[in-house]
Amino acid sequence: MTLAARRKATYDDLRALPEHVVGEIVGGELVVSPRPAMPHAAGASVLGATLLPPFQFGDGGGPGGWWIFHEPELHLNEDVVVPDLAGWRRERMPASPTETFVTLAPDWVCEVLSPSTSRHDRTKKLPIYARVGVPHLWLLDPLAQTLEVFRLDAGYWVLMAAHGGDETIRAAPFEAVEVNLARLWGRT
Amino acid sequence: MTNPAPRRATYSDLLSVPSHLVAEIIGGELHTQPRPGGPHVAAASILGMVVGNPFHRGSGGPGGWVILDEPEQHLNADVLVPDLAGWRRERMPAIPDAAAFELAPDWIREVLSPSTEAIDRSEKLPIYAREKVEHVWLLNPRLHMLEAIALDASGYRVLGAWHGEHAVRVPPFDAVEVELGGLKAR
Repeated sequence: MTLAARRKATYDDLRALPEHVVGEIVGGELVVSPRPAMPHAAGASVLGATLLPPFQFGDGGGPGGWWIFHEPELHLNEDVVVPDLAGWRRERMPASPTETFVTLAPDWVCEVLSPSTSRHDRTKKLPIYARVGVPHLWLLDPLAQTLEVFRLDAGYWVLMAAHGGDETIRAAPFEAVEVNLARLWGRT
Repeated sequence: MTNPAPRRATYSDLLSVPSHLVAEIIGGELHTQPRPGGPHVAAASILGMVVGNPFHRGSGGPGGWVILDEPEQHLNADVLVPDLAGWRRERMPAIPDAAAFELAPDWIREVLSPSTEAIDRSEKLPIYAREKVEHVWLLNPRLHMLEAIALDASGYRVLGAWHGEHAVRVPPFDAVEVELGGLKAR
């Protein structure tokens, strides 16, 4: 007896999900993840709060020039993915999006890893971001307390640095501003 | 009064560590951890056999490698103990009769645990890059996930990350399939 081919997931399947989960479509499959919990959520909030003032608003002498959003829904070819944070340079995205999803690949993505999502992030989402040419990727792990910084080079993610502990660091593409890692882990 | 800089750890500090602990010197600091537990050891051992049989013993594979458990690597001032390391035979025609290995491997496999993952990624990988270890596999036995990275002119690049029941071919041992489902502890 042959197995029937699994029906590819559609956007309707995603819209039918309950409110308290995050839905994505990866390689034709519906992937459901719990909404980010602490300390994952805290790491994303603090990183957004660190980057938005200088890079979106130009506060404190920051260079501006970016749009940075929490959990934007990305429609990248047939995949629907929701990174924890993503940014676009304004020359590529002149205005803040008015639709519920974005089809333009970001200039920077940050995924915040949790025990339930790190495998999905590393094995499935990183290749998607590489395929659409996202130039910069950060992986933030609030439990391991590491920030991995990657640059895309010829279709591969090159590890530029892996920071740990309580360092204050600068990382592309946001080198203009220091990021205090202890704040990302909720230690101050 | 300023605090004096902490003294850098030395090899005699490492020798004083009780034998039931794994000890390393990373960036001048002594790090110790208890020996890993069951699921970690099971996944690590199975992957060791999957790679060791064809590539060290030439059984079901091309041979050509020396693959050793937990060699004590003396890499300049650092003393690291990777879970598994391999050298192409042309670089290591004979296994040294010493506790310390000074020749950097061609391949290292680290098994990640919650207590070691941060140090493995943020401190040991830069040392392996500095010592030009060409290939590193990171095995996460709790998540049944294997990540592979390879060194090029820019640094380590991600070859891929895999999990699940299917078999994968991963450089530098792509002559043989690794079945990730088989890494589950039974």
